[in-house]
Amino acid sequence: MIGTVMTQYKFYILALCAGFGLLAPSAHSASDVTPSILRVLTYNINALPSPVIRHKTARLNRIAQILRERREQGTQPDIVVLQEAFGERCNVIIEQSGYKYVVRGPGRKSGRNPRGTSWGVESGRSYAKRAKPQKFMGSGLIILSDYKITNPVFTTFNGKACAGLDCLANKAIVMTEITIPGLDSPVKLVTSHFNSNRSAKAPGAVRLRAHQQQTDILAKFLARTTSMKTPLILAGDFNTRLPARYQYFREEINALDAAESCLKTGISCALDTQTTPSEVLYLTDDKQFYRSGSATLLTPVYIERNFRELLDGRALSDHTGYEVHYALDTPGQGGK
Amino acid sequence: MLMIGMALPAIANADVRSSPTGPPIYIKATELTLEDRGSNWHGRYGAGIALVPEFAGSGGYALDLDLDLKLFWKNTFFIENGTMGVIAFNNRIWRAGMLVRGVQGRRVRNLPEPIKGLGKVDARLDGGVFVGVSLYKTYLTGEFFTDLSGVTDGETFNLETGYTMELSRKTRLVPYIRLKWGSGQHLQKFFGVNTAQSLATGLTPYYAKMSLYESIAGMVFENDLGKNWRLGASAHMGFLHGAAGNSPITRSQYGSRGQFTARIKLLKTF
Repeated sequence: MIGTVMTQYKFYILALCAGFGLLAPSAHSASDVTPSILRVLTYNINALPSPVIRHKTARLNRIAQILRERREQGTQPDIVVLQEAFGERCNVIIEQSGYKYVVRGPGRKSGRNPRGTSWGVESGRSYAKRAKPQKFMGSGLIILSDYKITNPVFTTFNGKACAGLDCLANKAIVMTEITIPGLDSPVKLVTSHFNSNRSAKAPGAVRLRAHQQQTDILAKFLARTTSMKTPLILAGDFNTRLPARYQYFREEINALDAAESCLKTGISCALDTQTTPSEVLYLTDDKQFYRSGSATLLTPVYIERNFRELLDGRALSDHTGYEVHYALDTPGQGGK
Repeated sequence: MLMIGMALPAIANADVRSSPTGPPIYIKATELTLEDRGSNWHGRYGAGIALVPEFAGSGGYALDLDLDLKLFWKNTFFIENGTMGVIAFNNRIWRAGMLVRGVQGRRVRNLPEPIKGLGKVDARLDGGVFVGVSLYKTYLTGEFFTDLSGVTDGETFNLETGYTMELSRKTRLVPYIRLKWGSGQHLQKFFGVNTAQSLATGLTPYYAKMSLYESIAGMVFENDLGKNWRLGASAHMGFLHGAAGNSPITRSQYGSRGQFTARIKLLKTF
């Protein structure tokens, strides 16, 4: 069955290469069929708490509406990871987009929050000053999935692995297993929102060190929660636009950049016509990385920056969506 | 590379909803702890030198050895440079607790010869409470002390606010201002001149009343020398006013309303 599906998929690619927009597979098939494509969207929805950003509700409603409309068309992302999803207002996306499984990242009080801040001063009387960073917001992370989610785990960045205003949020890494029908092992999905750059309002070296510490924590987290046997997708706002950040991230995290792979593979991967290579490669903080498993090959076949529309003249967020479609191939299960 | 204008449609699973039906299933994530639980103890120790007024209201300065010790247990019980206490309330914004501290008095040997007749003020033991409010890099602390040892039988109140500036990855600067209030008994002991002292020194008799007696502007500078080593420096300029500013001691040729203090020390944290 998988072989049949993959043949359809390959034929579909070939048809597109030939300039024919034909042969769209049906939107639904039997429940034991492995999907040929896994669509993953990461989107920083910029839902900072009021009064920092006002008039956000209408934009969140529109985001939910877009996801719902795509679901009705059968083209919705299979997995959505959201960043900066702070507050109750974001529930509209969870409730109206139709996703069956939801994981929320840690809230404000969750997780260990060890002593120490990057701005901690030892001299002078310290007993009356707070020794830990104050968390006024949770992680702002939400994972939505059409496929069954199991074993979600998280870790929070410790006190010194943050810089400036970002320390006020309980930033974290969340990993979950996505059970996809027909695959021997689940796909591991990891999302996070790394320290911002200039908007953190901290010295550049402090911001860079915090980002590198977060990368180190992610590498440690991956070493504990994943193996080379299971397929892995990292999708989130990793804030890697700065070359020094991106370089360190790539050196420490053993995963391929979906955009690099897509643009290297030539005809087997496509960008949306509105999407430029720079938007998915390096001039972006939103990224997706991936690693195939021993039994499941992941191949990016399509990338799109979406959610670009304006609502009353305003963008839906200060980010756009970053959606990657991964072809799923199970070479060892051809007859299944 | 191929540029296409439409998303590749997928073969979705039958379990996948085609419309929003029914409430979503929330799955709770559990925490994965990557680091070992830290020690219950933390603190610092160090040594340096300090340039301080020879006595309260002095216009002369002395260079002293400046020893530094801080010891915290479970972020609750602490000893910090002669102050010992317990943090009784601690939440995201504020903390409060009780403390006792030993405070040096006035040494006769630090007094200039003509006013040695002021005599010494013994070291005392203060008991008090503190409240600290923190918001991001800004703090505001208030401390109220009363003399438990009978040396002054007075009370003092300090209010301090500051903001931490990160100058670079390794350096931080904390400008702050501090206001000090003292009861009549406290100020009389350090700035008052009774009849006997007046006869001994020639200073005009003076009876201090409670007042806001010193305003201080200062800054703390810290530089990381290594993972656990820091160079700390601080300087502040105080201005005596109220009962302290009007004291004959402060106004004498040996006194000054300006009170400067500077410290530099090497600290090891653990």
